[in-house]
Formats: sequence, structure tokens, C-alpha cells
Amino acid sequence: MPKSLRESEEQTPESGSGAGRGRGRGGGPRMKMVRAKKWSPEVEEAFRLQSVGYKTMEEYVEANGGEPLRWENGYIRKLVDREGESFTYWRKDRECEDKYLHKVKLYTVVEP
Amino acid sequence: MSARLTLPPTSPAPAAAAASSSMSPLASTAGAAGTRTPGTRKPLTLSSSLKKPKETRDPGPPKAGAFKKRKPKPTKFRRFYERGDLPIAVEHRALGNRIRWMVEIEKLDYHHYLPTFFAGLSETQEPYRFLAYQGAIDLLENGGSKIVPVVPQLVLPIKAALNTRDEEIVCRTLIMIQRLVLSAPDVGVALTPYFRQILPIMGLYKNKNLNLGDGIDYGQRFRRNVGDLVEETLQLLELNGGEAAYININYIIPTYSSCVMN
Repeated sequence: MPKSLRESEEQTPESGSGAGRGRGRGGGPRMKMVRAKKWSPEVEEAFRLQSVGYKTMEEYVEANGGEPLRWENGYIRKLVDREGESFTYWRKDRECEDKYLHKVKLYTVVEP
Repeated sequence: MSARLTLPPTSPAPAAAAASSSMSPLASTAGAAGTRTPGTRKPLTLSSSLKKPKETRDPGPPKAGAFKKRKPKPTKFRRFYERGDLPIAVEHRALGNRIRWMVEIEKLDYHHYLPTFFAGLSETQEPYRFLAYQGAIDLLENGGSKIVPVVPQLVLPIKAALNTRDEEIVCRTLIMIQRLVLSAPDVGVALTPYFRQILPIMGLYKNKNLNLGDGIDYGQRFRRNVGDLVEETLQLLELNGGEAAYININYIIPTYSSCVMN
């Protein structure tokens, strides 16, 4: 491949090829993932979202066009699935038990 | 004519026969079975002088069976679920099973669905047990003011579940009563007139506790101790049942001591 063509590809990261600098494989921002080791409200939020099939809150908002319903203490109360056909309701207190902690993934956007 | 001793083919050797003659009368009676075939043995019989008089034990009064499990009848929850009337499904996920609601809970008719889910508390079979328990919790948490008018309809399913006297069902029902009382402000007061239906079984299990001495009950978090659950439930009913709650509880369970007045 000629050098000039390679350079032009690198300059258009939205192409979805995954070769773009600062972009993830699907064309979104590059993300770093760590597994939860200890419970926290952020872990609880990730647990609730991932139980329904979303990676992050940004993904949920993008799919449903708005934030989910929340309890007074800030925990997620109700989530809608991707098709908008079914609903999952969550309790006011902690639901992510210690036995589920290692399955919860915490994503953070990596600065390019 | 000489008398000859003829032995049956299965009888022991002459030396053994001589030895047996010097044995106790008990053994001799056993050996007297001349035509014994191998494998079949006559039972030993004692002479009348050795027989002991038969001890006749007094069986005592028959058991009342107060704690005996009663088989729960098939519930209307199961019927409705099998018929496809309930808008729920189990969602099997790695992060624990959950209920998926096909209709928003806020749009459901509580007069129909809440008693149906409470009826399912008597279920011990999956998926009915899980669906009824979790579904009832979801309805109570999201019901708000819709719960109080339904309370009279919940009494019968609660009573039926407690009457099964199956400890697992009783524990589950007690936890659900606690959740019901705490779900909305006036539910406890609305439940007070029905204490006569609910409390007798609680009185039965009030003292059913573990006698551990100074040991530790490591399963406390599972909340399976009926005695503790009954005590907690009664205290919640007293705290949330208004002024007449203590008198009504004490009328049915005289051993209950107030958690407010003392």
C-alpha cells in the first residue's frame, strides 16, 4: 500500500476500521476496562446497566434517548431493554452482591 | 433284629450329634428338626418358663400435628402464569436471574395482580416460586398509594401461605408481610383489622428458635429463623399499625411484649 494512502486512512478514524488513533474498534472512543474489586455506587450502577445488556450509561442514553428512572438515593430504578419492549425494576438498596463483583466491568474513556 | 440309627442325608455327623445332645434344651429343640433342608431354618421357640411377659407401652395421646406441613393447593398464580396471563418472564443472566416485565408496572391493575402474586407465595416449585416472590416485591416497591386499597384482598393469600406450616413458605411470607407494611405509610393501619386471620400462626412459631447457647448462627443473613422473623414482623406491625395495634396483637399472642412501651 502506498504511503500516502496509509496516512489518509489514519486521518479518518470514523471509518470504523479500528486503525484510527483515539478510536475503539466499533468507531467509538477508546476505552479501558477494569474489573470491579470492591463495591461502590459506581459499581452498583455498572452492575445494573450490564445486567440489562448495556455497557455504560452513555450507551443507554444513546439507545433510549434519556436517562433511566432513579431512586431518591441516586440508584437506578427502572431500565428499558434495547427493543423498548421489556422493563427491569431495581431495588432501593444494594443489589450487587460480592459474588457478582468480579463480573462487573468498569469502562473509562482513554484520552488519545 | 438290631435297631439301626438312620440319619437323614442332611443331618450332621455322629460326633456332632453327640455334642448336640449335651447342649441346652434350647439347642436340642433346634437340632430336633430332623427333616431340615439347608437354607430353611425353624425359628427358635422358648419354653414357657423362659418367656417374658410382653411389655405393653402406653402410646399416649395422639399427636396434634400443630407443626405438620400441609400440602399447598395449586395456586391461581400458577394457573394464570401457565395460561400466559401474567406479563412477566424470567431473565436468566450471569449476574443473577431477574424478572422481565413486558408491561410497565405503573400501568398494571393492582386489584388484580397484587393478590395473584401473593397467592403465589405458597408455591415451592420453580419458576413459580421465584416469579411470585420477586414479582410481589417489584409490585410493592413501585405501588405507592395503590397498595392500601388492595390490603383486604391480600389477607386470604397470606393466611393460606402461613397455614401451610411449611417453614420455607412461612419465612417467605413473613418477609413479604414486612415489605408490605413498609411499602406505603398507611398499610400497617389497614392491616390491623385482619390480625385475627394472620397472627395465630405467628403465635405458633413465636418460640421456634435455635438453642445455640453461646454459639453463632452463621446463616443469619439468609433469614431462615422463624422465631426471629415472627418477632421482627410483630414489632413492625406494632410500630406501623397505629394506636390499637399493640392491644390487638396482645389479644391474640399474649406472650408478645411491646417494643414501644417497655
